[in-house]
Amino acid sequence: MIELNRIKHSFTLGRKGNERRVPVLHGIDMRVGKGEIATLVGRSGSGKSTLLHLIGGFLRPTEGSIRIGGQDVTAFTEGQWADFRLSHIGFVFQNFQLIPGMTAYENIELPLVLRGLSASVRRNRVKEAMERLGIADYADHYPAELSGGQQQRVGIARALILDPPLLLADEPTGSLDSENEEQFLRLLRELNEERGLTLLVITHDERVAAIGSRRFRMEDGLLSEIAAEAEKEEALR
Amino acid sequence: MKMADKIRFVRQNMKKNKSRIFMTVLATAIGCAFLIMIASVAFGLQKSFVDELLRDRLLTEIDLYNSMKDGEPSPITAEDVRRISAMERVKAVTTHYMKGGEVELDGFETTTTLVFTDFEQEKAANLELEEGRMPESGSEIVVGYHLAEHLKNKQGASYSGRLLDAEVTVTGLAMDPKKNEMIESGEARLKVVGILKKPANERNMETHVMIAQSLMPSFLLQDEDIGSPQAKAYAASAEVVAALAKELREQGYSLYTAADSVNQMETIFLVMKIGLVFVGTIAVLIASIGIYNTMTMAVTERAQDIGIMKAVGAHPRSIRSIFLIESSGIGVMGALIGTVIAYGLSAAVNIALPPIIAAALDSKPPEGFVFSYIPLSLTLLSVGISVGVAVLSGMRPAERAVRIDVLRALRRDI
Repeated sequence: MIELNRIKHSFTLGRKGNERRVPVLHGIDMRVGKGEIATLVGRSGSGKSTLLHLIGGFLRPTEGSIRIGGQDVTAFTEGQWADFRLSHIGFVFQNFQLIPGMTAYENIELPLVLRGLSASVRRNRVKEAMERLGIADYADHYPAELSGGQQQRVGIARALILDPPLLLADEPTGSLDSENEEQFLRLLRELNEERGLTLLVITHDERVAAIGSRRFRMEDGLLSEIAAEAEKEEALR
Repeated sequence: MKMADKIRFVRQNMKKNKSRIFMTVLATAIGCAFLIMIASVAFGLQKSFVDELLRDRLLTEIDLYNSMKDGEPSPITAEDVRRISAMERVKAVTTHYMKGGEVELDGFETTTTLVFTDFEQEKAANLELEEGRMPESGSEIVVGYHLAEHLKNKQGASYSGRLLDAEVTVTGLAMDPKKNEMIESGEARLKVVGILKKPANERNMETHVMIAQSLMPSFLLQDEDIGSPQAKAYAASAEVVAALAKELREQGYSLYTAADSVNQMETIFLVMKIGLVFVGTIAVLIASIGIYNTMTMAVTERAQDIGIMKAVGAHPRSIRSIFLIESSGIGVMGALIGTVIAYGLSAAVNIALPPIIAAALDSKPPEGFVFSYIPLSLTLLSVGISVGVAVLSGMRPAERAVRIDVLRALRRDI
């Protein structure tokens, strides 16, 4: 599902005429298969969010190529990325990123509106998703009127309303208490089992990382797979 | 994304900033109303002047003065009339031979002008009657609208009876060359079958008598020369007048058409209209600064929403069109309100100015004179300019919205 080949990325910092390039990723190779749950842990500033933003098309790699679902997306234009994101990728953010002026219903409906689906189709799909996630009673509530856990469910409903094959989650439990975190992780596992959804979860929390069938670690812009590290250590012993 | 959904988005966004949107629409409406009003003065004056010029005249009418023969101007002859009548774009050619005369009815009489004409050609030229019909025989005549009121008895009282269908005595007058005094040159009892249409210009008093040319010899002294006729050619339509006039001039005829004056006047007014529309557009451009400001603020305020929409999968095209719809919506609302205001102001000006002018200058403006006239073309042009300028004002903010960086927006860093 996700193939990263020799991905390098650097940011340009400083004022114009006095810029300097700060390398963040130093040649990342990564393969995540369809239906896998991959988790990526790393310290703050290690480059894990940058990697997620590259996979989501919010940044362009300085070098290397990215394939998602068999398509080379490296040179996609912004318009191509928009279409691709709408049909292939769902996003869950740490701060939920719901539109404050829209109700829970309208936030979940947004991708369906962008896709140009009819009002009746939208109504049925949103209703179904809200019932599935247990937030049907909050349809007319604005994000500010919802708890963190409810907001995260609205975020998940929005991310999955168009049935994308890939879900990218950036610190999804960062704003949740332990009870909501547990519920959230259970929900991710269920979605993975029910729909064969591929998941890439960025976290600094080892408990969240533990749900991954593939576990990666990012350190100083270099990626390694935790299971492979363990195998190496085992072999050395 | 469907257009209906984009409009729903725009309406929701506009509702959130009602007062700001209202002020921007108001500024656009004032700009549009100013544009229409200032240009309407040129349209109004043009209409008034052209109407005045064409009053009692047909645009298809061509006055023929003389023709050039052997390098010398000579009067229009029967041969000229035949030749012009045969031309493709000519509907009719009328010739009026005129001499002085008198009309008498039951002791009431007046001096008048006897006009000898060909009624078949007059019919073809659509001579308009107030009442009655065109003559069908030599003993029938039509008379000017004001003839009846000019018929007076010896006591000076005006004729109050009905002139139509009355038999009048028409007498021709001519100068006796031997005695050097006016004498009767002929007389006939003729039946009035038609009254000519009331002239639109109230200063014109029409008292003449139109008689068939076949009767002309009986009103002339022996060897009397009635002179050359007043000839008019009538073009088949207003569109061909210019071409027909050109052809006649090329054939050596000197002539005048109302279209010549109208064309000159229209050129002057066209320049005036362009100038005034340009001045008016400046007002709309000033209003556009407000639209630009409103749209820029809208983009800045909604940067986070735009970032979320882009992250979810909103196409740049959709983002751009949402903002362009909003700015054009402001333009359309402003233009519509401005148009209504302009129509109201125009009507008010046309009602209020004549008495003010009458009081200030001690003279009345001509009847039907309009100071401000808003033709549909001006309305469409002004609405087009206002909406066009509004869309242009929204383009840069819309591009800013498209270029919003998703990550910065999500970090609330914009």
